[in-house]
Amino acid sequence: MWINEKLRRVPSAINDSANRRTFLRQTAKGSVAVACGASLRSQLLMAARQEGGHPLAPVPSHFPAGAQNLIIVNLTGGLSHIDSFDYKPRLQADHGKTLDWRGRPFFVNASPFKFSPRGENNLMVSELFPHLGNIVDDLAIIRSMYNDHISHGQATLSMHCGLTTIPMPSLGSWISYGLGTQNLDLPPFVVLAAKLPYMGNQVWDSSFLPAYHTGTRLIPGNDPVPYLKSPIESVSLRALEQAMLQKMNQRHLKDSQLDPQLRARMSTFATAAGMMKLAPQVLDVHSETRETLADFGIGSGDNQSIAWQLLAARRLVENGVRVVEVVHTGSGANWDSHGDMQHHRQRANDLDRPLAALILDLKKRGLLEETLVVICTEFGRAPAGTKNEKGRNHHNSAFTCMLAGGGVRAGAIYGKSDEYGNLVAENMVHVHDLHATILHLMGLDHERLTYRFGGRDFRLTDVHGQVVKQILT
Amino acid sequence: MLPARKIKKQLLFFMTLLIVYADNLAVADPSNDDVEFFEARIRPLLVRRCLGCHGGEKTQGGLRVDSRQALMEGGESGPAMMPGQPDASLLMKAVRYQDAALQMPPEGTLPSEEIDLLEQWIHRGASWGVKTDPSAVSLDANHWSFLPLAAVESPADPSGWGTNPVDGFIRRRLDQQGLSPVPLASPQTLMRRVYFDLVGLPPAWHEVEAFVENYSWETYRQLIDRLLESPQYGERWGRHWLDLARYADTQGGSVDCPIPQAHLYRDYVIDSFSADKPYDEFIREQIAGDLMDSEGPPEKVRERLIATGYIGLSLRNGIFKHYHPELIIEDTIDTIGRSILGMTIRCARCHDHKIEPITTVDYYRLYGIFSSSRYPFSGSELPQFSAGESVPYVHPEDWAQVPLQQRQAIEELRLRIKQEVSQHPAQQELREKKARLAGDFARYREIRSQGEFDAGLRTSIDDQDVRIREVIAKLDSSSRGLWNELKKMELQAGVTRLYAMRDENPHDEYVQVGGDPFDVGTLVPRGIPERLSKGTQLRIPDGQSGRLELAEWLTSPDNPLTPRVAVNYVWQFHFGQGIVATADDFGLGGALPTHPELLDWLANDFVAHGWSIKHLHRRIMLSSTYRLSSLLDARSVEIDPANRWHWRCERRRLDAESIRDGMMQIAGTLNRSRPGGHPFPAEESWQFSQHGPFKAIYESPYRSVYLMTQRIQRHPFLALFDGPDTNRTTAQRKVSSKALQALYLQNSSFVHAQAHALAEKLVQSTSDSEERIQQAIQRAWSRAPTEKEIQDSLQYLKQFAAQWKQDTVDLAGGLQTELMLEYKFDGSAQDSSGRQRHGLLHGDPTFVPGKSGQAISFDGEGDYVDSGTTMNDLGNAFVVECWVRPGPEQAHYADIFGNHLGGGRGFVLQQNGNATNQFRGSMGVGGDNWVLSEPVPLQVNMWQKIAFVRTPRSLQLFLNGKKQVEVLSTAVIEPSPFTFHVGLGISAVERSFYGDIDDLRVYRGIPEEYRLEANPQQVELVSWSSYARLLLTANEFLYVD
Repeated sequence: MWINEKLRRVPSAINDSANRRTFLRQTAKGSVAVACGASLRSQLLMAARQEGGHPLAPVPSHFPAGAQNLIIVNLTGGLSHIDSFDYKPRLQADHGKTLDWRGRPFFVNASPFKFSPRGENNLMVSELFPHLGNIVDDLAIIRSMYNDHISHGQATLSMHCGLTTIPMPSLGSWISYGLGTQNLDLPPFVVLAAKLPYMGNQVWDSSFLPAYHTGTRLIPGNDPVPYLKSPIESVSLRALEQAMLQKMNQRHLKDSQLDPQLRARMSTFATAAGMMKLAPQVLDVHSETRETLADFGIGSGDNQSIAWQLLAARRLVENGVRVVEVVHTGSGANWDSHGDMQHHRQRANDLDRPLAALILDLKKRGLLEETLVVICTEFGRAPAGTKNEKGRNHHNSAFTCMLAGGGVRAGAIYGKSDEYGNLVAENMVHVHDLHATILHLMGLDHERLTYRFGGRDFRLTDVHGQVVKQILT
Repeated sequence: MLPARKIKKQLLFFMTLLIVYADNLAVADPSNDDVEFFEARIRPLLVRRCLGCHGGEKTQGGLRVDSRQALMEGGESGPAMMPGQPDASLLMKAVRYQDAALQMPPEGTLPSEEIDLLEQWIHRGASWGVKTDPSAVSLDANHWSFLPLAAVESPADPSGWGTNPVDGFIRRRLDQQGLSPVPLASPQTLMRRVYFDLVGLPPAWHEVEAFVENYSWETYRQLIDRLLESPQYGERWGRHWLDLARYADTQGGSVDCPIPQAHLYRDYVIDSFSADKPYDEFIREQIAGDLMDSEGPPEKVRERLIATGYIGLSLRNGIFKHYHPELIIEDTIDTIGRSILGMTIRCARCHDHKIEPITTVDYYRLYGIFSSSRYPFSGSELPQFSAGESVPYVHPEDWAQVPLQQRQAIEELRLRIKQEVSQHPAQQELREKKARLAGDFARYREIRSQGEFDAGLRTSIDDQDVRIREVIAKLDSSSRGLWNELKKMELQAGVTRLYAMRDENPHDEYVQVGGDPFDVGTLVPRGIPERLSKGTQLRIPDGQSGRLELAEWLTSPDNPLTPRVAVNYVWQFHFGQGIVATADDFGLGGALPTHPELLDWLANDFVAHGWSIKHLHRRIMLSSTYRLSSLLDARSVEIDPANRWHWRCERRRLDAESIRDGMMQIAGTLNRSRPGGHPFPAEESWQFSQHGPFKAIYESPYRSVYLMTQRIQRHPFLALFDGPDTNRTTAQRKVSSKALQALYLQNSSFVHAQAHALAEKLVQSTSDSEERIQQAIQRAWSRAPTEKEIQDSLQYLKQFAAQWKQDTVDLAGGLQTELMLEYKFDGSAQDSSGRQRHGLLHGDPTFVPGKSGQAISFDGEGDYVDSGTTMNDLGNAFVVECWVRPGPEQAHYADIFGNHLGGGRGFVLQQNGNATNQFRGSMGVGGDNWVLSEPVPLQVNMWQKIAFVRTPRSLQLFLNGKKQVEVLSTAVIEPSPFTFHVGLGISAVERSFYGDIDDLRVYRGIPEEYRLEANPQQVELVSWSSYARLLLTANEFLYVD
């Protein structure tokens, strides 16, 4: 719990928070109006550093890294690799055949979707993702992912927290702990989730890491941030209240000048005020240009669609939020197409265009270099099942995840599944390896990012994990 | 180990010996204090922080820190340490992070306290202890916490400061550290501290007054006795244990099914604390209550069955019944280890413990005990009900009262369920699948025993395990109807189902290599870790699991850990930090005790007084140490910033429960009775799955210990204020200061409701403002206000009221109102506002005698008036009013007036789509989003005046001059492309209004009669509510001195 200790050490630094905060708020406000470039980011960084003892103050990374922020797009339920980015001619050719696999019949089910060559490398992409197909050269695609468990709950848990078994700190919490935040007026780790994913909020919980690092769930719609809106809507009344509270707390502090925890508590109200002002501006995507809104496919008044969430994600990282996870769509009505693979179509229709727009938009603004985008799912879908089955079952022994942005080698294709997409054929990438790679891209060494709890040092990657160097620039 | 490595290690050993020798020469006569300082403070620090990289075989940067000499010689960067010169020592530069190129440890700075310790140590000449290799600590066979409790006497305290034996130990350490205690706390401060500490609630003011007035040793003692006897004590201290027992009302896993009986365990814990049940008995009951039934009256049987919920509540996994038993048991062992023994044992599931003397063999000794026990089960996805996996209980006397026929019916049904399941066709499938798995498993073991591995076979075994579970679920589900029937019959006969443990199929277990249940090693007899057993293993009778023997060993004199750990937890909950800072880790990896003699003295005293927790409370609370004030002393802060030596009382933030309960108590909204179970949906209706897991948050007027807590989602309030982790033992709550907490305190409806309730109390109690302030501060902060505070408060209330009135005027669009349209309907739809917005009649409306002059009459079949203008110029403060006399029924969504056309644009007063003649207001805020009011019922065939009132802060409907409904919203109405109509629904014919309308007026701004917010009573209540809320969110409420 060295963070508390840090607080103790610099009680005086917090005194200056008012000035710093004014500055931060001004700059942050500016960032809402104009695109937030690298220079503003470094200003924010400096300003936050002045806060010194704040538990979320930026911490230097282990080594210089391209990516400062992370956007995770989590396709819940299991995106079919063989119907999206892992084209299998043999699977198509052998449709309806029965193969023997370790003594059991194996009914091959071809993909019902058309594939066509996209990008410079003529990568086969299915018709589900025409827009992502357009930007396929910006992606690094890992086609040899595997996960330890075949059930949604466990697989989702490990995708977020490393272990399939017990809830551990989330990837986002680890990064928040490792790097701190760049804007104290917003939470360091935000999750956009209209519906809860599998395993509920355990997947963004800080677990034994300090609670600052817990993901803050925003629920797309009219009231996204919990308790952000004051029932006292008059700004002047709120100012009066703030001043009176300050007066009460100052008096209480009189005999306790040396006690940093009281000052820290007082400063949270200033941060809260900053958040109340800033968060609605950041989440108001309609202040974007008509072109941007059109690129994402955001209609007038839309404040909750996946397109809205992805644009909101960009605005959040642009304003200093370290990690944003977008949950598409939750534990129901998602990518879990058991009954019919055509159900993938609706999901893809919703996601494809804005997700491609997000990456293009980040690129256009020069933000892609410092933002890592991870598109992942807890597992793939089975190439075989019962005869002529329309849907597909869970499949954790081979699936596909994609990365783009800071430090990622655009256009890289890594790993290979076998000719049916059944098992990994080359260069296996375990979830721990993916995590190690994500941390690496964020400038963190997964073996050094540890936290002592219950008598031992814990890591996101437990005692495993290897950085997939082949997809790095 | 490779021979080369062995040689290297031996060489190191010789070198080490040399260094011992050299060291003894180098350090001239280190004082005992310095050696003790090194042993107690520096050695553990070096082991924990540095040795991983700079010791043994790994020497990063060529530097070793395992001897004084090695540190002085240093590594690649030069000498690391110069005795007596901390500022010149590289070590200090590195740990202070002064140089960007040399920062140690690399993962983050050390706690300032430890940096200070290192500095102090070097400054004092960097004495080394007796043993040269600090890692020798971890090889120490005589680790302090494994040794028997030492018989120690409390040191004399010649200063006369102390009031009981505890103080002697504390004072001695303070003196040694050159610290002196701050003065004792005032009776007022002490009162609030004792209340929150023992019952988790603030004291009533009259109690504070009486206590302060008659403050004496005797009244203090009486106060403690009184609170220990109050029912709120059990609720407060039971909660501490529930933290350790990772209590939740659901099972965990992907489905997180409710455990309807979990609250019985919660209440058992609370009652045990209230009754001061001997702690050893408390532990035994929880581990093996079901096996203790020969020991007491039949009432005890039920209680002890419930007690085993401690084990039963182990975290579940996935979607099947008892899925991954190895993980369920891992949670059991981890919980017992950390909450009772203060040992981290779980690591040894996959490999010998890296730090503690616990091997995998030790782990599977314990494991066998629990795999010989049957865990209860409340439901999952497969199957979606408890399938009888709970223990039926009925008091024998009650059972005897049940008519024989009823008893027989129950027995018969139980038998029938068994038969139906055993004769189910799927049994054959199950047998085949099990046989195949057994064959494959045997083959796999054979392959493994030859050191080979078959990945395909291994995957197939996992897969078969799942398939078998699917068949079991099919069998279970086939009996669901019968189980429901049985449950009903049992309930009628007074049989309850308990979430309790039973013994089942006692057997020893194989070591699971690498934690893989299908990769088995040697068979090990059930028992306890060898190192803790001191050579005497459990003697487990045939046919028993060994839980009873384990329970007995845990609380036997042979095991010094249990009392030490218990005493330390109690100390920690009183002071915020334990004598051992790592309360759940007394092992080699844990912290050393600051006051080892005190710990042993307390543990001995505790056991000698019948393991009485209440006795322990008195011991601690009647000390001077407990009664110290929280004053900070600059000099002492320098020496001991973390207050490890207890020179003051730590100021502490209230925990989540105390914040919520305290606010409700102060506001008078707390129901202090016990609520029983939770309003879960009936088990018969459960269809929870991983896609639709159980998720609920239940509002509750009761104390927070009774809130329903889940595992898949944390209770939002408890999570926000650092509540316990329901998935594992929480040994010590973290305390965070987050902006989200401030948002909650300022904006949540909960805090506003408490403040409002308090304000109502204040306003009702007296009309005198000063007296109200007195009461408010007394209630919220348990003290009287100063004169200055009263004046400041008065001024605040005045300012707030004035600002509120001003805002009301501002929000109403100023004092100006403008008539934008007026239809008197005296024979036509002429606009008499002067704006020429004359209405065009559609259909065949007629004019009839009205409220004043004539009114327009619609037949409900397509009659309406079109104003020809969108009325998008009304701003966000306007009123539309009219007289209306509705016909006997209305079409769904018939409009009285409005300018909407769907799509989240415009506003409308329309029938609510449900019961006839109920009308609601709505306004479109874009993207097909609507702000809707509650409906207002209109009287048939009577004239009534209805008004749609839009202020920037709300949407209200007035009926005959009185506000009926209000919905708060600051959203902006999306302009409509549609014109303002009277009597027209969205598609003319089906949705038109039936009835008469007269004198319709539209105002921009709010006319006087609709400005209700400014009425004096409301202003008063709002102002006091604001003031009350500030008191409840101020630091003086949130912190206890």
